[in-house]
Amino acid sequence: MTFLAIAFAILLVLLFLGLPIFAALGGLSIVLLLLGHTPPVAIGQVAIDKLNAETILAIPFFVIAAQFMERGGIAKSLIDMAEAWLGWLRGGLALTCVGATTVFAAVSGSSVATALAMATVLVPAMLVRGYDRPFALGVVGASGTLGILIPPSIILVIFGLIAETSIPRLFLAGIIPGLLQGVLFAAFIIFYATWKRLPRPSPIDLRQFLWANVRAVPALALPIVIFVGIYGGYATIAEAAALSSILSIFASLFIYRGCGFRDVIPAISKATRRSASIIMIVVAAMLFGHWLTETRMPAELVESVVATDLKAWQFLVMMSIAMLALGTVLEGLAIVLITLPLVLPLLLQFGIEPVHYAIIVVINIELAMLTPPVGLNLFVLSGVAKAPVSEVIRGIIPFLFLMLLLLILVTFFPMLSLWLPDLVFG
Amino acid sequence: MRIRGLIQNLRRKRRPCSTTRHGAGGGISAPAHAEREDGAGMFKSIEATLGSIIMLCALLLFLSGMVFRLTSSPLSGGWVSEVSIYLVAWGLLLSAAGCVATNEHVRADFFLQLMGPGLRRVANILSSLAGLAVCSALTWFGYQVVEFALSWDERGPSYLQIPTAWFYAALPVSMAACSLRYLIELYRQIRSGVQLEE
Repeated sequence: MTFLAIAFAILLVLLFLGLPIFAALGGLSIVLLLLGHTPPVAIGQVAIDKLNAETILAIPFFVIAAQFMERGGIAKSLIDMAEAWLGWLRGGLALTCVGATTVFAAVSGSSVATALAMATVLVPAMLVRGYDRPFALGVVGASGTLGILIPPSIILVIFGLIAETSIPRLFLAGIIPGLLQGVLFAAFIIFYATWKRLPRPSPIDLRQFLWANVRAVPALALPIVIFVGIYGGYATIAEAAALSSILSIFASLFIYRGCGFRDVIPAISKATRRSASIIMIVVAAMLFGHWLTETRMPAELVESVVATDLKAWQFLVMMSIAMLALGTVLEGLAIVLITLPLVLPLLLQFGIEPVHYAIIVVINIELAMLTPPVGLNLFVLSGVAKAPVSEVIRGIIPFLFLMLLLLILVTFFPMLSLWLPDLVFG
Repeated sequence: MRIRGLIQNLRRKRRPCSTTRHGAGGGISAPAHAEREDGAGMFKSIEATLGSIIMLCALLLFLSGMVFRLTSSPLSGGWVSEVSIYLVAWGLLLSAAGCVATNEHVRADFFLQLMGPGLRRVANILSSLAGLAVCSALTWFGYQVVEFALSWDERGPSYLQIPTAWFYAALPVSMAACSLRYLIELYRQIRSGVQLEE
């Protein structure tokens, strides 16, 4: 156990020195495996073997889809539709943001893509309507995190891959917590809009209303295709991801015309590089997990945790606190991949469903994306709105409390995440 | 729509979809300051360009496989999935070298930004050295896996009987490319330091 603590301390030092996460985690794992006399050929085999699975295809394909959705005009059509339904309410644009991100999240697996797509259009629009800037930025930043909770979610695909858990079950588990997050945000926005007496525009005419809805039909068809494909048994996760990427390319090129043909290869290149940086961390995490298994460290950890007489809920609270602390200085994916190989055997010991734990992890990552100093969505919004990060943080704070409330609810009421997958899969 | 005018203005000003500052990555991204212009990033690295073309081929092939399966075409079978997986592995691992060229590998750079320029330079050199060491080690290990697969004449499960060494070769080839990129980066970092001192 002391050895494990030392290894973690070294890893944290390497990460804080700014080493690429794959190099820090992979390098440390290679050294530890070689010290444990693992043959080099076995290390190479562990590094490459996980890539020989169909599920891995879902990662680049979902990232390609998100890349095109972000800029291809799909987001704008959803915003138009959400505004047609909600824009006439007090604080309507903020509600539009929550509504549009909830639907957009059902086609994009990325939080950054969601925040960026929404911020580009909605932040300037909210400022024009007289919303104060921190609130506008807070709404967009916090809503953007729905991208990784509402399926499809790239983080959940990676979780399923590492934990060998059913990805369709994981996807279903994210739906109710995601909708609950949307409802919590909407309730706060209505309260805030009434309190601050935000403008209440007059409703739009029927022709505009219908046109906004008709225009959004292709965008709305995307999540339907994904979900019918997966849960209707027509497509695997990877096939659904491939379908969503080809449909988003098609919609961006021919329907919304947000992209031209010459943008296709550069956009795919960007998405492939982004996926490659994820895959390299996954490879490093596989090496780390292999070292842990070889040293029987997880078994020892289970024994020592059993000796402490910890309850399941106490363990979950402890893990959330650890993830929140790590989330202030590390990327969400790194947190998942570093802790998961250690935590998985403990879940079994505590009788915690991996699917339930996955949703807790995702909400923690959402929080990590909004907490300084490395909260990625903060910087995305700061960049788009040309606003200081401190202003974004000020706007985000009320939403952080709401997300903490969601985290508590999901932790203590497992049925929020387990009910739907249990209903569908038994 | 009431905000249509605003949206149209934005549309006029919108950059092409390839020039996003932050891409999609499940909440994962390289530090904002580290990202370089997308098109430049693409053409700066032959590996990333190759990777993206391979990825597009894999996407189209994989979708064709789905169509073959749903239409019960005689072309359907495990070979589509097998070839797609091989292509995606090659595309991703080659693009990993592209990430070195465009400085897009994910890192926690918060403490780095708090350091002075001298310390930051040392930390960056250390990063490149660590990247070089890991990628060189993986090149060697990957080479051994390929050699092992060739000596046993391992083949894939589909009727194409593709040698698995073709799949495994993605690891040593791409890690060698990464190592080369890290060497170039290291040279650039040391050289810039020497120029500063001069």
